[in-house]
Amino acid sequence: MSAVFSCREAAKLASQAQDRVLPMRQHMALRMHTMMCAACRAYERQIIFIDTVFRLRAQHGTADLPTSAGLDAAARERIRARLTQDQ
Amino acid sequence: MSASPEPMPAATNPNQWVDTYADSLFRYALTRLRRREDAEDAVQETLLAALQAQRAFRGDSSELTWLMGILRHKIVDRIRLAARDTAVEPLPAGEVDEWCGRFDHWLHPPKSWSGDPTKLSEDAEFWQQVRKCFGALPERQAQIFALRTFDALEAEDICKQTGISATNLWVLLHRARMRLRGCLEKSWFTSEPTP
Repeated sequence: MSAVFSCREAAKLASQAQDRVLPMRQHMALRMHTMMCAACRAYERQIIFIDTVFRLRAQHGTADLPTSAGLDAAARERIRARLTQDQ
Repeated sequence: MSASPEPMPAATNPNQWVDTYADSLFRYALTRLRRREDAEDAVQETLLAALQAQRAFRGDSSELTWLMGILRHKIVDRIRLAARDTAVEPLPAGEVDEWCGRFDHWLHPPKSWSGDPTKLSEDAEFWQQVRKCFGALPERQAQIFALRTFDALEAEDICKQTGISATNLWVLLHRARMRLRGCLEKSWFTSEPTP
């Protein structure tokens, strides 16, 4: 890993760190970078924040986003008919 | 169906499924598939599959959880089929690059966000905004991000189930997070009164 380590690269690794254990060199490079770079430090906190807030919503029992749309009457009827037919 | 030790609405009559569960299943499907017709189809496929597999329902989860599990499999199947045809979506044309300069610095450096994730996770207004940002993601990014967060699947399991390679998965999640944070920073975190 070169000494010049861009924010673009750091952002990529910060995301990967949420999904796997980074290889040691990349892990070190990311930590070095975020120690010195406030923007990337903020970025890393932000993406952890977003992942967390989604997980929390699901833990409260809502694994979906708010929508005004429900299943409409026609679709409901169609599905009901299919189910009856298959029983 | 054998007696369940827990008092739960186990093994209800399939005739009641549509009334009891269809709306929850539909919302779950619509969040991930976006198109009404696709979501309706997925709900129907789910209930038909459940009908076939009714005996397999042992009552060790709630009936809704069981149905959601079937639905999630249906959605993962769709992702797998779609992923076979195309590699990672190219960056949409005209997307503004986040980077500038010879050293790839941030064009708009991320700011520090105030707010408590636990409180926000129950804030209806916040989720209205998230819905807009999430809706602006390319479809596959949105689907994968939902599997990783809402469904709390491990990255490895997502790869196994969808057939997407680890490298592609990381790219998709990275892009999803990058866009979500950009959108939320603009629309929620900077319009809030900050101390």
